[in-house]
Amino acid sequence: MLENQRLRSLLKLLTWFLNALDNKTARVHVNRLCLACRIPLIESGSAGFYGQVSVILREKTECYECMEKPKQKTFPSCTIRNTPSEHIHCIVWSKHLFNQLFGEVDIDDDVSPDLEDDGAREDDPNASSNNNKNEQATENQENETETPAEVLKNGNGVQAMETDQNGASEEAKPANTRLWAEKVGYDPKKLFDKLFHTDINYLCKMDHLWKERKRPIAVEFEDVVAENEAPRSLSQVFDDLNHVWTRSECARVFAAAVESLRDRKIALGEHEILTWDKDDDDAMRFVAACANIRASLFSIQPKTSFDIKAMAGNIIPAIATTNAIVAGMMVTEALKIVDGDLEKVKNVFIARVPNMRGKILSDEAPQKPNPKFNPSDMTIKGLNDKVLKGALNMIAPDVMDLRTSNVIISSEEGETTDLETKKLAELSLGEGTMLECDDFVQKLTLKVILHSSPDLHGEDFEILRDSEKKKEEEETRKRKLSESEPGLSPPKKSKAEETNGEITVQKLKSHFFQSYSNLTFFLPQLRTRVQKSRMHRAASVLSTGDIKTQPALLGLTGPASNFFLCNVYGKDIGHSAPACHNFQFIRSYRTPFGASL
Amino acid sequence: MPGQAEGLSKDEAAVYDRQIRLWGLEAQNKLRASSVLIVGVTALGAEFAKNIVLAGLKSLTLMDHQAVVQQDLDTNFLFQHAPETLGKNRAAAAAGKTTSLNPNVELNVVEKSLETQLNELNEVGQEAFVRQFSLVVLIDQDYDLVNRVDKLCRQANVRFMCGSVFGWCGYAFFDFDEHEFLMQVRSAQTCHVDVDDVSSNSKAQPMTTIEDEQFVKKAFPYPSFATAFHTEWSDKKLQRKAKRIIPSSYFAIKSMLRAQRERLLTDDEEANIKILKEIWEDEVRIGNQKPEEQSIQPEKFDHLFPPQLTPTAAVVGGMMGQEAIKTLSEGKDPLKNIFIYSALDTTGVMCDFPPPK
Repeated sequence: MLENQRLRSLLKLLTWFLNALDNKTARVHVNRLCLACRIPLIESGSAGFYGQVSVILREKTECYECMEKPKQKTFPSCTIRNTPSEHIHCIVWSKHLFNQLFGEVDIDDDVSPDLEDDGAREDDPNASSNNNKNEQATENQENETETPAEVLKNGNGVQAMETDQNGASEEAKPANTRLWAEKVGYDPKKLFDKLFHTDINYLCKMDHLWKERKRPIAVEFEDVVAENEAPRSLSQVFDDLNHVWTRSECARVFAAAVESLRDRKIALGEHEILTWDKDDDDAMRFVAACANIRASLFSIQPKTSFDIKAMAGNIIPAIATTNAIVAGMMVTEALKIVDGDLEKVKNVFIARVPNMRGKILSDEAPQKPNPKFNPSDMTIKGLNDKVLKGALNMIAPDVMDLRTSNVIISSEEGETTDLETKKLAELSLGEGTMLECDDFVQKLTLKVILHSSPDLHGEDFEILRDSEKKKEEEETRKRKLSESEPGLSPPKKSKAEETNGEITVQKLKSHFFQSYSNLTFFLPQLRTRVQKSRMHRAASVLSTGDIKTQPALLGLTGPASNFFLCNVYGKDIGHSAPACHNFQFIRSYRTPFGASL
Repeated sequence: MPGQAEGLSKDEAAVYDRQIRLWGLEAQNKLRASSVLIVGVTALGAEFAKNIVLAGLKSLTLMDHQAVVQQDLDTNFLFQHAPETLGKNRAAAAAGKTTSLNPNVELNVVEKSLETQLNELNEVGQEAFVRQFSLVVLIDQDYDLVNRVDKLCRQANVRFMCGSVFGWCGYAFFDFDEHEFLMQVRSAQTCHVDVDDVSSNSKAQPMTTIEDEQFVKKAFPYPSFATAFHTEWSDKKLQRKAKRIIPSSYFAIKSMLRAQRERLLTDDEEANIKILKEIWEDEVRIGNQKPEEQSIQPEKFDHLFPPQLTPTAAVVGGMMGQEAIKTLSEGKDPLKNIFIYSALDTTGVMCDFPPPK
């Protein structure tokens, strides 16, 4: 780990950062780092034929966290568990099943029939896809049409429960799926028959679900395997990524995958688990086979394992041509920054078709800074969930009231539970309160200053940005506070409290976007090793090596791990194209064979 | 029928996994049956070669008669950055790294100029020479040679591309005359846009999903190099349109091409800039526009001379690679027919010249 001081001084040497990252966590991390150190950041992305470059300059342009990003698609749990209508629903179910059997059990990702599903919701994929899974679950609980108890009163339901001792009744709790599987020794045939026969039959008995839907058809392992007249060997099936496996082949792949995964799970220690990975053959085959079998029961068209891999693994194809164009555009913007032409920087996108003026690379001036943080509940829980974890992207904050040194939020579970429902005002947190928010996971400490505002009502909040002058005022206030209020003295009533009697009006001042003086950054591991696979774009960028100053190129894979930082020294740019003979760097293109240039 | 039967081995399928997800297995098989000739191993040549070698071809032929000089070493990543590379033939010097990018591609090196090669052959022999290739690409070559080879390729029905990077600006030209692409069929259902909403710029999506998209093979006429770069802007119908569709960077490129064709450029950069300014004023006038309104002005013309700016080479080479992949794989959405990129005013424009009527 690098000393904070040393990192800061290192960053001060840099003129800009070029980001060629593949995940949001790492992008957020670098974005904050660059904002804090006032280093221009050139952010990039590539997906298929599309690509884009955006320039992030503190106080001049919107930053990465200001930009709108598409939300990850989620599906309501009852669609996944009871009434899949698209193939992706079956894939999601299969991935959940993998975790229930071999991986980390998530209580929200149950795979057995959901007894509380009233079946009333619309099955419109567009409407349901944006719904938050938990919200959907809550909605269902509130709808009191037909409770599980009522289902059981149904003749069919009672019979199902009585005849089915090992079936759905016991399997309703996800933890039991694993227990049951272990009890039967992960017998593929028994698993198959429970998942695709017992559970499906149980679902069929929830009549209200099938009023306007086609009832699924339960199948048994032996019957499905017997469906094929001319069976291929399993290795032939495995290698065939481009044709849809028959259902009989799926059943055999399922059995083989369950056995391999079981053996691997047993080989692990007592509390160790398998993690689903699209590049793990057994795990991928398990999901592909399960998803297609389930799809067939619900009359959904099956897919090739190649397609399922793309959907399950959320693969975004990256190609050399787009990457090259993006890299070129990044350096073009970087040259402007080096030349001091900050007014000329552009955000550039690769369009699929030229616009009316023929522009295939469409450029626009960067937007002004714009924090779009959602107003939310201002209880302590609200502060934690919506402001710190939500708007400010912290992971496990510990929050201390600096005046009293009282801990109001702890990342240790249970430590501050009793405070969660309290409003800030109830803890005398108000105008001028400074909160020290520390995130051990992110190695991040920031101070949040609370302000009251006459413009906000109810439990709204706003993350303020302000001028240097205001910042100075705050520093003064901070000094005054610490002078007038030694840590142990009882908290003084805030101004708003004195005038209004209660504080429901709050403004949170974040030091994130403007007053970075209080931010402390650590980077966990500084390495000079170049990550080959992540370096393709980066290398194209660096191959230009025409920089009179020292840019840094930072690539991270996963949250704050495996990144490299390198300095490039070149000669002055001058007015014509520069040379790069002072430039020493391992150029590494993504080659399929790991060969690097 | 297993995957191997369609030609792609399991290993290749793993290697090309990501791009197959983008353009499909059929397109990948067409790519791996293709042979490409690249004439001119410059910074732009290197970018283009890298892109199509990674995409996966049957064979690539690198042709160049020039020796590596210091400037090549500084801008071309296919050359070993060592003193002993200086003086080697450019095609030969690039061979090692090009092969290491993708050993599946058979690499040939021809240490000879294309002009010499063609002059050794009679007319039939010349056509037969270009017919060995699915695509002929001339990079940073002389105007007359480009013109000659484009004509030859049109006769021989071989796809042709050319491109140059002049300092900070560059262009690419595509001539895929009468070669097939996949074009989307727009059925009545897929154009489900509420008429009232069009004016309010609504984002009404077609009602069909991707599975419902239908494509047919279709070929288009592409104009020759000479025709594309000599549009009659004085034509009444084009006079008004010209201002909207000609980017400022076009005149800089056009002026460089004309100076090349008329052999006006020397080793004296000062003199070259002066000559270029005169030609440029003429070209701007031919395009029915005013010199003072151009975003690229003569005081920046020193940016049009070597060395090639590598980001410009990356963008132009990337776009050339993209269109090469589309035509070789008979893919979707080809872009006609001159791409111009300028790092001077950050413009990347696809011009369709002469403009379709």
